Amino acid sequence: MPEQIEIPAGQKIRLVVTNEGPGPEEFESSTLNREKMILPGKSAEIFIGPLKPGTYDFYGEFHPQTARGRIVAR
Amino acid sequence: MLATAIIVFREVLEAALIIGIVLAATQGQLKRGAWVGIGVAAGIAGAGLVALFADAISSAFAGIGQEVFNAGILLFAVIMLGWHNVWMKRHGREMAGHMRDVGQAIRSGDRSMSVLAMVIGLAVLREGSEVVLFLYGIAVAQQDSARMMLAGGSLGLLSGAAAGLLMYRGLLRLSSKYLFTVTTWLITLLAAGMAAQAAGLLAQADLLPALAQTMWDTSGILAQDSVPGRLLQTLVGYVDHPSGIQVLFYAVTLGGIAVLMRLYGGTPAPKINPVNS
Repeated sequence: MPEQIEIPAGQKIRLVVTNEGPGPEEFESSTLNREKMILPGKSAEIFIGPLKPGTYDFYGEFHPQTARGRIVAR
Repeated sequence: MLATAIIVFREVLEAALIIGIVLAATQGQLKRGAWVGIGVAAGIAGAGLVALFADAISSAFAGIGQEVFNAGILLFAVIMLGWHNVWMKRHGREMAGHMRDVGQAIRSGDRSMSVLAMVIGLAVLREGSEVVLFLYGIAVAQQDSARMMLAGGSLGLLSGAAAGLLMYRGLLRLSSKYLFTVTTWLITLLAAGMAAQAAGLLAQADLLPALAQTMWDTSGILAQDSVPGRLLQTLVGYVDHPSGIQVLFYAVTLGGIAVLMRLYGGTPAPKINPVNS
C-alpha cells in the first residue's frame, strides 16, 4: 500500500484498498472515520469524502506500527 | 505478544462493558446468569461462523456486505436496547416490589432477559469475529509462535473481562435507588452510540450521505483509538471525527428512546392524596 495518496478535495472518492499481506487486515482511520476488514488477497471499496484540504492518516489495525499511510486532499 | 494482547483487549472491551452493564441493569432478575451465558456462548459460536464466512459476507451486495451486515446487527441491537428500556420503565417497578403473580413475572422477565441476551450475543459476535480474523492473521504470518499468540490472546481477553467486571462492580456500588436510572441512561447512550456507528458504516458503503465529513475534531483532546477513547466510544458513542449523519443518528436515537419511554413506559402508580378536596 502506498504511503501517500493525493486526491482532490471537495469530491466523493471511491478508495479501492487491496490487502497484499498474508493475513486479514483492518483498514482504519479515525480522521476519515472509516474501518473495514479486508481478507488477504482481496480488495475492498471504501467511500470517503468530500474532504476538506488536509492530511488524513490511515493504518492497518492489526499492524498499527508498520502499516501506516496518509491521504492528502488538495 | 503484548501487541496481540492490546489488540484483543480493545476488541473484547466493548462486549465486556456491554455485559457488565446488562448484568447491573438486570440485578435481581431470575435466571439472568443463564441468559447471559447463552448470549455469550451463542455470540462466540456466531463469531466463528462470521469469521469462517467473512469472504462471502464481504463480497455480498457488490462489496458492501460487511458494512450492511454490521450496520444491520448494530441497528437491531439499538431496537432491542430501546425496547428493553421501555419494558423496564413499565415493569421494573412491579418486579422490584411485590410480585403478585410470580409465574407471570418470571415469564415476562424471561422475555426481557432474552432480548438482552441477544444484545450480548450480537456484541460478542461482532467483536469476536474480528479477534478470530486477527489471530488467524498472526498465525498465517507466523509473527508469533503459537504459544505467544495464545498468551497474548488470553491476556487481552482476561483484561477485557476484568474491565467488564469493574464496570459491573462499580455500578453495583450505586444505591438501588440510582442504579435503575443510571443503567437506563447507560443503555440509552449505548444504543445511541451503536446507531451512530451504524450510520458511519452505511456512509462508508455510500448508502447514506455523510452530510458533513467532519462535524468537529476532538482528537487533540481525546483520541478515539486511545484506551480511554475506546472506553468512551463504547459507553457513550464517542467519535473524535463524527460525520453529520452520525450526529443525526445519535440525536434521533437518544430522543427517540426518551420519547418512547415517556409514551409507552407507563406512569408510576397514582399517589393517593390523603386530603382530597
